[in-house]
Amino acid sequence: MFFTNHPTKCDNSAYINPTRTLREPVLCWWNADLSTSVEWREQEINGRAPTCFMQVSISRFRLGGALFALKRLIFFRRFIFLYFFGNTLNIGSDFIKKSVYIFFGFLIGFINSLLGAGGGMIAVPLLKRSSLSQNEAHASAIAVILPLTFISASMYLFKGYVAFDDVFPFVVFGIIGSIFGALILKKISAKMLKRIFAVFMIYAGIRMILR
Amino acid sequence: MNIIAGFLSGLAGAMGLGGGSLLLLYLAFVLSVPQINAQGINLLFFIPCAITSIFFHHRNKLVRWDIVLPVAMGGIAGVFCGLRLLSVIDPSLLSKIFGAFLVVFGLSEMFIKK
Repeated sequence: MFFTNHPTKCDNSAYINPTRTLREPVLCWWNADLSTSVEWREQEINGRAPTCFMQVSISRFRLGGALFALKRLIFFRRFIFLYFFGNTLNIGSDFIKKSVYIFFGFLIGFINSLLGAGGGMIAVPLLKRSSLSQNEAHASAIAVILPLTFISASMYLFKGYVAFDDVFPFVVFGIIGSIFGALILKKISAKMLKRIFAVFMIYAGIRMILR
Repeated sequence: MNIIAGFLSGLAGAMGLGGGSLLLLYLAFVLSVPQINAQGINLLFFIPCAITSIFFHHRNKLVRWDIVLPVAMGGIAGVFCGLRLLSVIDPSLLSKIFGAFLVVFGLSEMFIKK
């Protein structure tokens, strides 16, 4: 009787509470007589009667991409809406501010994954524009880049551009250096250091272009 | 030499000065690693360094998580676009783009007043 193609989403509450099917179709072949059912439309396109489990799942596989993308969008729409308009007071400026954050993030992620470095260099001035102090901007930039680096590094690993052995000679002393850097960031003014670093960057950039 | 490069780039990376580019330049010029592999090494190198430095920064209450979160969410979308472009683009072009990027940001750090 309950021969379902979608055991996780299928339950008897469609019988008990029929209004539920109006809001979201329960994905089973046995309620295919509802015109809202996704299954029904797929089988019409496929030109087959709903006979068995395998056929239905194959037809879903063909049509799947667009439908699942649409369903995902509908599902996440509420979170996107809440993110932008959750704060009902002061909607306008809040919306612009949050959009700007997302756009900054997009830029940082793009550069960081394409060039493998330099996300921090953009992140610090961008974050400083949004009312963060110097030290806070530097610290938050690293927190922003960490997940982005994690994703792009795993993709680089997956594509075989890099292996764990290549990194080993640098990592230990890198960690020690980062501990030092984190401890002295609160104390120093980075202005002089920045000047030196900028000169070095320009020199290296020109050499890199001419190579 | 490896030790010094690792230490310095960890130091600069933890202070958010673009330590990654330091290691990348060292790999490209001294060890003459191809650009794309150097990028991968740099990215992988940055993860443990970032974790340790965030630990300290968080203890010093310097990380503003309320701002970090949306920026990182936008960043994830950017990462996927960048990776898509990376698989399309000519690898020899990457080092040129990186050089131009370095020059532009070096100039802006020199001349834009805070």
